[in-house]
Amino acid sequence: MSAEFDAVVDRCQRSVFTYACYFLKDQESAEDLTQEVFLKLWRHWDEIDFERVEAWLMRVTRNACYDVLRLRRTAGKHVTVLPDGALEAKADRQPSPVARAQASEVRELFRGALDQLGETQRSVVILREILGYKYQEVAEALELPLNTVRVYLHRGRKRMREQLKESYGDV
Amino acid sequence: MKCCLTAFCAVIVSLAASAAPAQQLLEDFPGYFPEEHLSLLSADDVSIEINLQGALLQMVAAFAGKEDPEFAQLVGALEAIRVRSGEPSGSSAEVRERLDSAQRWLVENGWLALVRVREEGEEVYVYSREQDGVFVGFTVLAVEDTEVTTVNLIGHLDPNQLAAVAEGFDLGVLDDIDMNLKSLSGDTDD
Amino acid sequence: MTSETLRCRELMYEMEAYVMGELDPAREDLFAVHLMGCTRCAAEAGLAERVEAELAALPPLDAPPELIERIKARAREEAPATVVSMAARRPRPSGRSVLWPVALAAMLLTALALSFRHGEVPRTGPTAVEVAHAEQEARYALALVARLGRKASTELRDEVFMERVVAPVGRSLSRNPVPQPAKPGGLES
Repeated sequence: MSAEFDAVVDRCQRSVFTYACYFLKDQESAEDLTQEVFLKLWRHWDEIDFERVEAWLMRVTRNACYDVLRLRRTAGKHVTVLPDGALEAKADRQPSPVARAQASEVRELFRGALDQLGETQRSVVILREILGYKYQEVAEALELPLNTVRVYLHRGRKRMREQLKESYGDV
Repeated sequence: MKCCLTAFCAVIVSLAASAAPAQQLLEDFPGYFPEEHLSLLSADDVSIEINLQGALLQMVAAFAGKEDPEFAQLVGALEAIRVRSGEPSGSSAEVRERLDSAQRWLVENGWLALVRVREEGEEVYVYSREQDGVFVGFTVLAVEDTEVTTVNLIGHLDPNQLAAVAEGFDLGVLDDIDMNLKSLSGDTDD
Repeated sequence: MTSETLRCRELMYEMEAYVMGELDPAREDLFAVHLMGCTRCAAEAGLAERVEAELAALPPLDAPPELIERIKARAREEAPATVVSMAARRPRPSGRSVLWPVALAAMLLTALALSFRHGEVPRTGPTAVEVAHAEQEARYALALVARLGRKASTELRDEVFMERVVAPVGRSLSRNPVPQPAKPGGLES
């Protein structure tokens, strides 16, 4: 049934890799982690409910990310490398060089604000805002009550707003 | 014929009776945390409640033994697993007072605070209870924004199993869980 | 009905809900009215909208194609002897499904025994369904402990966790070995 497994990999690789990249802020670590997560899926293939494979994958991804962070803290590492173009806007038009520079500066600040969020808030923001998960899907993936997901999202965005304001004043 | 049936029935009933001995009251265990009496969550506030004890836990351990021996070993050594979770009613000041009161109770009754973590919107407090040098109870109080959760594990705790579960080295328990939170809290699926 | 006005403090607290369109219409109207007359809150709303725009602009990322191929190749190398298709698999592991007829037989026997007695009906042990449900609940509780413990431990350096949790428990274990649970009787799996 490797064809079935391949189909799940193709369907879910974006969610796993996106989460890992934005959470760990390091493409190399995200790639290693993505491989580890899918191989774990393969090894537990017989035990997993097909209806919930994506939620299972996100839980495993989240746990693996927490493990990486814990190891980093122990080793005293701080990594902030993201894939090229990870924070490039999906622009429909070419802005002027000045506008591009200004946008880039705000984007840097914004990226920093996202990095500053607590891990749960960051997870909620990544799943909901970047991957477009519904609230219930976020709740299932992160094993949180639905109301808590909503509150975390609001709090995360509020914190980002406050940090932008601190760094940049009126935008 | 009736004598044989009566004898057979007597055997069945006596076996049933002997398989369910009178259970020691949970309150008598030193590792018991009386969350209900401390009024952290009223009956109306609770959205998830789990109360597993005694023979039922032993049967869970027996059934899980072949497929998941680590889980079975941890559960088999426990007297009870109790969870209550929900959004407490009352103002945030009142909820804070009830939380502080619960923690005071724990400390005053011989529980040791192992971990206290507090950040905006999230708090986790972990307490252990020892008796004669042996771990007999484990209580976690957690606050995630509007949700308060208490977990009380009563019984002899295998430290290797507990550390593995707490640190997540063995992700088998977490990863293979297929939980439908709605069904646990009694709601039906859509 | 008297008109209600919002204070700036309330807006700050609910700003994200407003920008995300999650307030009820009446409250949303009150917000809009306040923003028209308060430059400070209007500036905050602008910031919140900027956060929303920036978040919307963050792209999901695809794993590099070579990584995907590597994953699939590794899985094929590790292929076990038999793999059951997810679609073809039975809903639950077979070890538990045999409990139904056994449990039913036990219940019928007990009911038969009780029909010849007078007086109070004695309590029977847990059914297979109750045990399966209890197992789910136990797994949930332990996963909750793991998640909360993991959350707590990521906020601390590992040696603090080891020193405060694992070491004392280990010391207590070395003094008093954990008693092994007695083998239960009753239904066999």
